[in-house]
Amino acid sequence: MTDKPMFADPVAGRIWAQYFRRMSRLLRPLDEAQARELTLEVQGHLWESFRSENAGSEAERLLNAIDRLGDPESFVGPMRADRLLEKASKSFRPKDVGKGLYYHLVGGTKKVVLGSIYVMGYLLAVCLALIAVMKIFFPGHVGLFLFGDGGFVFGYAWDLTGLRSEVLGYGIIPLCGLAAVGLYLGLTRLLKTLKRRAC
Amino acid sequence: MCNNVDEDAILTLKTDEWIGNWESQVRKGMLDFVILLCLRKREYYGYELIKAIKAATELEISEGTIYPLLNRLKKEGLISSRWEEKESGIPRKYYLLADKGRAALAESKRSWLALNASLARLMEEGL
Repeated sequence: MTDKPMFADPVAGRIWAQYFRRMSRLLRPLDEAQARELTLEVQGHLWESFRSENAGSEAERLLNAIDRLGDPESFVGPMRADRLLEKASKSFRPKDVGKGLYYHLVGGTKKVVLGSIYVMGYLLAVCLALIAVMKIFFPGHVGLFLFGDGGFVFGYAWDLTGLRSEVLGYGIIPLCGLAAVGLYLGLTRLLKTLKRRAC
Repeated sequence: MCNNVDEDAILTLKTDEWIGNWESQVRKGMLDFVILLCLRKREYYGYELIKAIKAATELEISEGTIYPLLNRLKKEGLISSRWEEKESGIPRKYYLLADKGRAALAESKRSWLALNASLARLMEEGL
């Protein structure tokens, strides 16, 4: 397989190379095999489309073919985001989750709001985990505090003036720990809902 | 008088815009179904499939949009694919209808025909 067909016109060769350099940059977050497969398919399409034209120079025919196909950003972006989300939903690795969400949000899709909810959900999971850890180091300031004026604080409370009682004690550690893990696993399992249903 | 003309023009523009949006939504929704229908009898590679869809329907699809759709249909197990080496040096990726896709297509056809009959009755007779 050759990455660049033999063009008689060097301008056409440069246009081809530039298009696939852009695509290669877009596909960088993907596995090599996935990126290779997508590139080969788009190369095949562009080559067929280019060959279907008879009029004009090679460069003009190639530009027309690119015009019909569209910028790589317009169709590679959604595929890249979907593949990364799928990978994250299987691996459960925080790095994959972050990448999948990042490229989904950067892709500028209609589901940005849903993506933002996921980000907030992950932040909540991190906060719950932090509360569990902080209870060990600041036992007197971490918990579910009820105050005399009817107010309450869940998490870290610096000022305990007017404190009536603390409810959870060291039970906050397993409670927040389990909630954080459950939230992370649940959100990650549901990552596939962010995949696009239509294009 | 002049105001009436302006209002008519604005109304026409809004109607055209609504129809344009509606058509676009219908086409997007139809594309999965159309792809499965095309793959019912033979396999196609991406570029060839786009040409077939354009020839068989009035759907004006942007060529790039077909790949995310094919990718999703494949992930859902409705279609499968195979590579074929070509003399040009650039291989072709052919898409085939999978068993699950064939079952989904039969169900989609039944659903589409029922919906079509209901809409035809509604357009003809009203509620």
